[in-house]
Amino acid sequence: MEVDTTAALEPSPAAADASGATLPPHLERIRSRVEVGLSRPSNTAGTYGANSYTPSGYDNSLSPALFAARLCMAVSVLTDEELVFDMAGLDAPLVNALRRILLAEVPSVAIERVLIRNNTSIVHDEMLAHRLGLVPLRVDIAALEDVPPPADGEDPTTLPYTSANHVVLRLKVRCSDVPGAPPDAPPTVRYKNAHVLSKSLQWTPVGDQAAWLTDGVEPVHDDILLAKLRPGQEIDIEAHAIRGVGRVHAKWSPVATAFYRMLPEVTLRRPLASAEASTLVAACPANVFDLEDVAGRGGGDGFGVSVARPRACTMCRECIRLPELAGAVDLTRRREHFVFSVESSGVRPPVDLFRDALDVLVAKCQVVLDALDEVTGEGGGAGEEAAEVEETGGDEDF
Amino acid sequence: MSNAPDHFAAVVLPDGVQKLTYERDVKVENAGTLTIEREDHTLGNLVRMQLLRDPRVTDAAAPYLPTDAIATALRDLNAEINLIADKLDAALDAAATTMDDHGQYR
Repeated sequence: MEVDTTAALEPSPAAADASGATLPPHLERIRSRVEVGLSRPSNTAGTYGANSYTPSGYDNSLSPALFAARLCMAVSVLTDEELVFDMAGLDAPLVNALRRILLAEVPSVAIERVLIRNNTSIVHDEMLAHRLGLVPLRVDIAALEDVPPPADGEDPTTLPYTSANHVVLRLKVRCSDVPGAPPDAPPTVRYKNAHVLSKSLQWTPVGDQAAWLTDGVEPVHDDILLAKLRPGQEIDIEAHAIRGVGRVHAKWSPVATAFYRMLPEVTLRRPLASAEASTLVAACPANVFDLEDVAGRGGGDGFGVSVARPRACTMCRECIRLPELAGAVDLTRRREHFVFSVESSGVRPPVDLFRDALDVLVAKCQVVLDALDEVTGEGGGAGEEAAEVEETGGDEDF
Repeated sequence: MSNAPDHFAAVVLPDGVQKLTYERDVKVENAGTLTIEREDHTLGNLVRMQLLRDPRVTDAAAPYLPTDAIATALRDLNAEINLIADKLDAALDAAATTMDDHGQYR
């Protein structure tokens, strides 16, 4: 159950520019709202041009100071696996960059090479190796180094790993009959090790790893089915796991998913008669509206409607589809208010993943800044040298 | 399989390729093309947004070098991302104080 953080968020002052000027309502609606119409959404593109509203006396430019004044954040769900929070007062490209980085560029550890000593199971070697690669592993990611990229012409598949950059997991399972088991019992009862599960992956420290990888290495989930065996069949393999990013292969993506949505806004355009109110409440499958007793408060006949849970709105448009409710409800999304969800695959807490995503984005900017210094600083003595020193640091971060 | 690009090719800069190259426009003084290698929409769209937000870019009246514009945009972005990190910490602190009431937080 999600907590409604609307109250916790300060009202975003994004409607005013640096000098406090605001747009007239019809332009402010275009600037800050996506409209959800009956047949299509409209006004979907954000306006980022600094001078887009200059004729109306509104300065659309952005500075870090203005960004600081506008940005509001509030957390609504925080568990070991899920983080949901609101970010208001910033633009979609920044939020989207963070989402993409969470999916593809925050590092994690996954099995990359599998040495197969024996595999007489029905699962092919390559399929088994693929399944092993997708098993989320809990490892102290900061303790391991990245595997360096191969030099030109070097075969990346045979590049040796070191104790500093990989961990080894053994999987040795043999299936056998269980004596005295009833013949009509399920295979898991009749046979020992009929199901090979991820818990059978045993960490084998390489070199002095036992001394500094003190938390060990284990699969996040014990019960991931890797293969099924029958008596006499055996799997005996050694798997090597390394650091990587989702951009290279999805098995390194540390999130189950990361997504955001713009905050739904549901507004009543006109007062509703009792019958209309009941129709509206019944029409909404997301249960956004509540019936209100307005008779006792001079509100006309019987019932009215309140928008009780706008966050639950899925923009299914049932409320604007019915002819008898035409013009009753205004559906919009706030362009500068995002509800961001991070679901970790379990390898690390989602808050850590999001902080890492911020660090990765800073590092990306820094790498380009340093490269830019090198390009523009050509022939300029001291400045160029300093840029090169920074470049080395930037590469390590990257 | 032999013609498939190496996995790391998506991330690692090939030998002899520069991360960033800048080509000045031959006719317009304050225009040019920046090419950033081994980056995608994650950074591209973000930098585009930040550049558009700079009045000196969209104005194009005063001489303003594209390299200066990009550098400003990237420095501003760095500052903004750090602000997000700070506000996230504040939001987490605020959540920690109120969350026991809901019984759903750590």
